[in-house]
Parts: sequence; C-alpha cells; structure tokens
Amino acid sequence: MRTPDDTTDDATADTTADSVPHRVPESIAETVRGATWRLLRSELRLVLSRRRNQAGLAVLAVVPVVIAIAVKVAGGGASDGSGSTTDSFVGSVAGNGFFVALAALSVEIGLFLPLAVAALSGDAIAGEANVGTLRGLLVVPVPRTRLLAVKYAAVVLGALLAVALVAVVGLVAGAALFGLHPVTTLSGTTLGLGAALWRLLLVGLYVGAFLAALGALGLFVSTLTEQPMGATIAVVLVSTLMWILDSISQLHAIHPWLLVDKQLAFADLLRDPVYTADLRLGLLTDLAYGVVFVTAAWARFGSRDVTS
Amino acid sequence: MSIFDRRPALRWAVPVAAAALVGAVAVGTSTVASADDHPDLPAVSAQDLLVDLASPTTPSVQGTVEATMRLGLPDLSGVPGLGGGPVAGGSSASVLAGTHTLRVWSDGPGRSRVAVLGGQSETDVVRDGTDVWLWDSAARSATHVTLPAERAGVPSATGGVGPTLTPDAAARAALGAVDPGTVVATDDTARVAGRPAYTLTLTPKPSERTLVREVAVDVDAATHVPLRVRVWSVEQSKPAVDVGFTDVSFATPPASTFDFTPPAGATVKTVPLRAGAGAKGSTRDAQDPTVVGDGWDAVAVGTLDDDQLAALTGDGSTTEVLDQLPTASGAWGSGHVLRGTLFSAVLTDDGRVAVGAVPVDVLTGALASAPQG
Repeated sequence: MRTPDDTTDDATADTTADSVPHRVPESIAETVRGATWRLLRSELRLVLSRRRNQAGLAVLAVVPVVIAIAVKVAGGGASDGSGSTTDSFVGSVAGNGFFVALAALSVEIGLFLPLAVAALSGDAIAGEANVGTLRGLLVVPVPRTRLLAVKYAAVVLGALLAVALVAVVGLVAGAALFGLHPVTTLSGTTLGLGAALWRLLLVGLYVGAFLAALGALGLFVSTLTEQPMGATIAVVLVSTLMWILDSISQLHAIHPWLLVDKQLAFADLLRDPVYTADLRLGLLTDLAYGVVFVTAAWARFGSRDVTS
Repeated sequence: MSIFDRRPALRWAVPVAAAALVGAVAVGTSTVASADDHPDLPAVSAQDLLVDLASPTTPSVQGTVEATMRLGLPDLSGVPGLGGGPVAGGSSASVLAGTHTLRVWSDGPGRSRVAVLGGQSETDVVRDGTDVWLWDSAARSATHVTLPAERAGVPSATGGVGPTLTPDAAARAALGAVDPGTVVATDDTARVAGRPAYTLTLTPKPSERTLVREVAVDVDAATHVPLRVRVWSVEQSKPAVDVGFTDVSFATPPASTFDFTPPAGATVKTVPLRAGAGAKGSTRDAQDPTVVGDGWDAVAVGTLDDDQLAALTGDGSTTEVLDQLPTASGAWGSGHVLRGTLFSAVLTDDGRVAVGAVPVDVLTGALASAPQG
C-alpha cells in the first residue's frame, strides 16, 4: 500500500528547490517533467509490487499453459485425422505451438484481460481515494491533468504487460510441448516463423489497443467513486455486457457501437494478405472510446473536490 | 490560467463534444453509405449495357464482397448436391444462409481466388487455369481439382467448382436467364462501393410462373464490371440474394495470389472431377435432367441413381434434414417438398427430383408431365 510519505517524497525535494516558481519558468517545466517521470516510475513500481496484481498476472499466464497441456493430453485435436473441425485457433495448436499464444489471447480477451484492466483502473484513482492517499498525491508539483495522464499510462502499460505475458508464456508453452514451426495462415499460405512473430506482435498491439480503450472507461469510472472494488466490478460488468450484447445477432443494429464488436478481428492479421477492414474499424472504435472516456475522466477529476 | 481551471464545469464540454463528434461521424458515414445515391450518368440502352457487361474493360478485379442470402432454406449442410457436395465440403451450403464476407481477386477469365471469411477460419477457392484448389482452414484440408482443358478459359469464378458467390458469378447466372419472357431495362443508377454504376433490371413477364420478382445488376459505369446483384422474390420485400462489393479495386493482383501450395500438415485430397458433384452439367451424362418448360418457369426434372438415393436416405444427418421437410402427395406421386423463397424442390419417394425457381405446384405439374425415369 502507498503511504502519504511514499507518494510525496519523490517530489517534495523538487518543490523546495523552486521556491520562486514564477521567476524561472524553464526550470519549473523541467521539474514538472522530471516529477512526472518519477511519478510514472513509482506508479509502475507500485502496480507491479501489489500482491493481487502479481497473482492476477500469474492467473493470466496459467491459461496458455492449461490450453497447451489440455491439447497435448487430449492427443491432437484436428490433426489426428478424426476429421474434427473447429472455427478456432485451438484446433491448430496440435500442429504448431505458435497457436497456443493466439488461442490463449482469444480465450482471455473475453473476461480475464478486461478483468485485469478493470482491477488496475479501479486502483488508479478510486483506490488512492479509498486509502486516503489521493490528497497527498495532489500535493506534488504535477498538475492534476498530468497526474491523470500518469495514472492512465500506468494502466495502459499494465495492460500491454498482461498481453505480452500471455503471448510469451503461450509461445514458451507451445514451443515446449509442440515445437514452433512455420505458420499456416488462415488463407492456407505459409509464413516463416519470423514473419509470424511480427504478426503476433501486431495481434498483441491490437488487443492492447482494445484494453487501453477499456482502461479509459475504467479510469473514468474510477474518478466517480472512492470504492476501487465498485469501479472494478462496474468495468467488468460493462465489458461483459458488451460481449453478451455482441453475441445476440438480433441486436446487430447496436453492434457497431460496442467497444468489443471488432476485437476478435485480430484473427484477420493471420490471413494472407491481412484483411484490414475490420481491424481499422476496431482501432477507430478503440480511439473513440479512448478519447471520450479519457476526456470525461479529465473533466471529472479536474472539477471534483478531493477530500480523501 | 486556462478557462478550464477557472470554470471546471466547462471541462465536461470536451467529452460531450468528443462523443457528439464520434456519433455524428459514425451516423454520417453509415447514412451516406446506405443513402439512395443516383449519380448522373449518360443514358445507355439496356442492349448496349448487356453488350458492355460481356466485355469489361479490365481483366483485374479485387475487393471485398458482402453476400446476404434469404432463401428460406433449412440447414442443408448435410445434403449432397444441394449442399456443397464432396468438393466444397459443405462450406458453400453454409454460404446459402445469412451474411458472409468474401474477398475476391481475379485476373482474367481463368485466374481467380475467392476467400470466404469465418471468425477464426477461412475457406478459399484458388483457380489458375485448369488447376483449382479448395482450402478449408477449419478442417486443415486442401482439395485439388483439375478441370478439363476445354474449360481453362471458362470465365466463371472457379470453373463451376466450390462457392461461386461473387457479383460476377451471380451476374452471369442472372444474364443466363435473359429470354423473351424477360423485360430488360436500365432506368436507374446507383453507387456501389463508392463507384457510379448503371442498374440493369431483369423482370420476368407476368405470364411467367416464377418466384423471381426482379433481378437488378449494378454495372460499373467505367469498367462494365458487375458490382452488385440483387434478386427479389415474390414472397418478401428484402432481396433474397444480395451480393455486392463493399470495396473494389481494378489493380492487378500479384501473381502469387493465384498460387496455392498445400501447407505442411494439411490433409491433401485430389478429387477427380467426375466424382466432384457441383460441377454443373459435367457429370451424370446418362441422366441429364429433363427441362420442362422454358424461361423463368423452367423446371429441371431428374432421377437420382441408387447410390445417390442411398446417400440421401441412408446417411444419418441427411435423413434428419430430409425429415424436417414437409411431405406432399398428388397425381405426381409423393415425396418431400422444399419451399424456398427463390426456388423450390421436390424429391419424390421413388427418387425423382424437380427443381426450379417456381412455386411447388409448377414443380409437381412438371413431375406429372415428365416421362418416367
């Protein structure tokens, strides 16, 4: 847990150094920038040192391992000649460990990854307010807007770390149990392993963009309450509700408005040539959600009285 | 001090404006896309347009196609002949219902690739001359079909094998129906995938007893490539078939687009064309269906051989599908009846089949009048 001392000691030294702030604007700008970086570093350290975040990352990392072991134990899936066909990357795992990473991402994008982002963003503002450290944070010579930006950056970096962890553990588990081979695209062409890893990186960034947009929503919810658990639950509810609505085909009229609608389109990166139409729509949706909710969080955070 | 520091409540204007902008852009683009846009184009006669359609100015077309089918069919994935058959592996049967996104590349009559996109899967038909490959990513199977040499230049998307749901294939099928019983007109224009197009309408004359109300083919004004085909049934207001480009370009696709090498680990099958059902007219020479009537209300009457009948009634999944279909009987015999919005089919208990774009009573009439066997 952050203590009031912990949050301010980085910055107090800087404030005293600039006792006449309006005379030396350049050094203030430098100080603020330095304080911002230090704040981001301490924020990331804090996020990573929390036991529940470490436990959450461990759970995220277990999923690809479970998928790899399950396919290994079941003995092959689609490639065993049984003629079974699946419309999912899990069916390709037996032939190539590379697909463990993709299968794990498609399984976790529905709940686990949004849950991770919801937990991070719930902690970001509401968590600080809940334990009474938010007021202390606002004393550092960093404007509220910068503070919010640091909080959001930490959420986004945490989300990217989660995605990278799932992908890397998936690759390692897949390599150990099935080996890594040149990758067959959905279109039936073959990609060298290097090119395929680039595609996987793009998949990770695409999923990361979705989580960043969800993190913006989470950041906004987090500024509304002092109950981090409430904020987390609200974000998971909204995310899960959107997945449910998106699966009801009769509601197709509202599907383009849902953040999650085009997120599974990351599979289009595994076509040859890459099919970009849905990916572009997905990124635009991410951008729209991101901008609206980051600015909403900024409006709320800048105008509210912080009392705890 | 900025105005946002003095009047914090004003900050809310920013997210509200952002949301309004997003909403306006989203609604704006979707209404523009669906708006009835009738670009001004020089007048052209229906006859000239028909000639133009036969000779596009570009051999290269690539783009994204959205195909929506409202044929009113039950799940036919298990029915040989009506479904994909052994070659397409049932994939084209699922294309006969709902909305599908296809990617299309073609370069001249004999070179084409059509990819039907699934969530985390894809079905491809790649054709280069007489070589046709069918790839099914879900089954990880590649099927090789070699067309007879005389069909190397036949300009259907895939030489008659596999799913052919492209505007080009649909337009060819529609134009095949032009006969004295058809009123052909071009009195409208449209914008398809952002390109101005002439709308060619084919309307069966009232004397035709058909389920087809109207066929509209949107022909690109500059290149004469068919961009969209819609077929309306007499039974519903929305088109029963709507196949059109949402995005199109006339750049030449790279030659590698039409190469297919089965990937490592895939099941590779080579299917001799004779066994490959779905290649219309090339098999079953001895039992070519009899055509009763002509024009829009033509009915194809044929007989299944014992193997096909056994396949239809013996196999579990097929029988299940067949049992869903209502039965009927009359002077023509008795059997199962399939009532689609655009075509109907009758399968009699003694193995005769009648299919046509007509109501069921026309089919049964044809069955009654057709010679047995």
